[in-house]
Amino acid sequence: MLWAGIVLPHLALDGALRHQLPPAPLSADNPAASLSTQPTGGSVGPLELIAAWAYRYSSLVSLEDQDALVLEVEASLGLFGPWPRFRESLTRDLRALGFRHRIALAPTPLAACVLAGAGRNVAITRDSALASALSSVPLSAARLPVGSCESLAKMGVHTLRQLLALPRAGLRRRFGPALPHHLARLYGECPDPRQCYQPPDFFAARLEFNHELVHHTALLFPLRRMIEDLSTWLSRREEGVQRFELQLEHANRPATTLTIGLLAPARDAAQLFELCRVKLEQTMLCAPVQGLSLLARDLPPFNPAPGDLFARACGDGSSWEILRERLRARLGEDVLFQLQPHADARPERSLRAVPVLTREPASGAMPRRPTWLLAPPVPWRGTVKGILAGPERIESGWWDEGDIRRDYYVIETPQGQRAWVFRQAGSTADHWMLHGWFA
Amino acid sequence: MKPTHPALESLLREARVWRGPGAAESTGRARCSTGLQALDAALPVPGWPESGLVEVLTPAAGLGELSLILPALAAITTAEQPVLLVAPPHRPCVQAWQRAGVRLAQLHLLETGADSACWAMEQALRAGCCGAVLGWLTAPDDKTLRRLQVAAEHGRTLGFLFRGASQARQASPAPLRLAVEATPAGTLLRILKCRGRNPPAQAIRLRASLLH
Repeated sequence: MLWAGIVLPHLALDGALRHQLPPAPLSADNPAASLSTQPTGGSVGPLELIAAWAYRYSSLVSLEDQDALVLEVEASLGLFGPWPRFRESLTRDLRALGFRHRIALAPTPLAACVLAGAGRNVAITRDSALASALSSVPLSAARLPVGSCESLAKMGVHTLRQLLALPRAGLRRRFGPALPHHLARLYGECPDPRQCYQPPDFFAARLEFNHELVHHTALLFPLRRMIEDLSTWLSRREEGVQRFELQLEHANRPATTLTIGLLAPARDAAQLFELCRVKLEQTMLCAPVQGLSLLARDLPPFNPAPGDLFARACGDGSSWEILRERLRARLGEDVLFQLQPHADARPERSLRAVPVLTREPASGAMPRRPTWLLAPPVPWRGTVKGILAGPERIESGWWDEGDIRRDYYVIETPQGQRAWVFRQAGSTADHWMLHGWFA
Repeated sequence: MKPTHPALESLLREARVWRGPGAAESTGRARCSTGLQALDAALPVPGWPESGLVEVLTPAAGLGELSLILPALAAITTAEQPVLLVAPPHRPCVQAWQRAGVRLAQLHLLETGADSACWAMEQALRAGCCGAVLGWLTAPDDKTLRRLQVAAEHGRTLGFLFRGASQARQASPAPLRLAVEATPAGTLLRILKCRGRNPPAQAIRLRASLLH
């Protein structure tokens, strides 16, 4: 393995400066042009930010102390390499982020950090070359355990070469086991297990505006940028978002929360933005908005639907999933549903509305049923021309307070309509109840 | 005589001009058979049109107006294309629909008010992702009908619009208008208008009365 060590000597200062910089103009004529990005709730420090950035180059990213991180690059060289070009892209990114830094390449993570910290702009790829590269590094840059550097300096030991010449047993006796172990890790003589950086499994972003926004339209521009960030982030993680929250922050009131829920995960920026826009348009702004934050926690894996090569490219070209979400966003979450049969003899309970039907329900053998079912049944006051079928007795439900005892008939009316009617079991009176139409 | 002008040819192919009786049959494609041989024969293409608005005018419920299009819905849902029911008057009894061959996984219902029903139906027709959109709109005006027809053509989607029989006299931009008529002998289907052909004078038997 090859490790790139990145030392950020002015991390705290650079991190603080990042927020003070005047933001680049986003749009000339937009009132929301001067906005500033801030990490949510101070939870993300500058080093975490750098680690999240480094994660795009390597899956093994590890923080070292408070001012450095290492990433395994040998596996990534095929994608980003060779090393000079890889190094170039790291430097370019860090410069764009506004962090001063030093980078070195070495076979052990600790050596990479030490070499970078010592200002050696080197790329050591072979174990045999490591010792000579480290030999002239001053002990003050060697990241030794606390206190040992000063004691060694009093002994006249100033470089790693001098330190390595001392017998290890003596060092262990005088400084404890930490120092020899540190040296062994530095030179790759013993394994150096590390805790790797794990990116957070939720997406949070927050924007604070420099002035108060009173109109929806002014919110759309920063919102679009946020959604685009979310979409990029999701596609990198092979995930989609199923539910997320938008919070509109006001001066002296609790924030307005908009929840956007989808029936199926999605990650297309245009689609998500469209849904947010519809939701936002339906919301009355009770007070001027000072900040906008987006939090997405429900992030299921997302497999883009395989497109049909010969699919009909017509209309708006939007898929059923997009149409479905558009209708739900505008009309409400429960207006759109599907029906599935339910194993119950009582007609009222023989179908169930579900948001999404994932697979085709099996069709059971049932006596003849009408195409429309009235809910609830209504009294039938018309005349009955004749009975086409029946009676079919349905007697069920004594156990759940939904007891019915009915005789169902298929009748024809003088107008030629076919209706599904019932009367109480055993009754011969003409008290018909209409329950369905054979339309 | 064979037309040679490309614009004229395309007009004739799309059956946008009426050619009078005896003219050559139009060569447009049908979406799927209606399931009624007599109706297939009477239409300019043998079956439901590929796209556009189809009006079904019924004086009352329960006359067989749904069984008219259930074979089409079965064919469309079997082809894995979604079917959307906008503001249906009642809940479909899914067992009967399943028996008719409709795949429930592709059947979607939208229950909403009159205004949003028009909007939703237009959106669904325009999106072009549905196999068919069925709408029960209360008294849509001319403008709404034209919007729906334009949306259906834009999205190349088949739209069925169910309306009361009293609206038969209202002019409509829908290329195909069918009226269901109740008679003592059974239910008849009359073609009020079909683009590309003269509507036949004879009504088609939809369902015979079993008591007559």
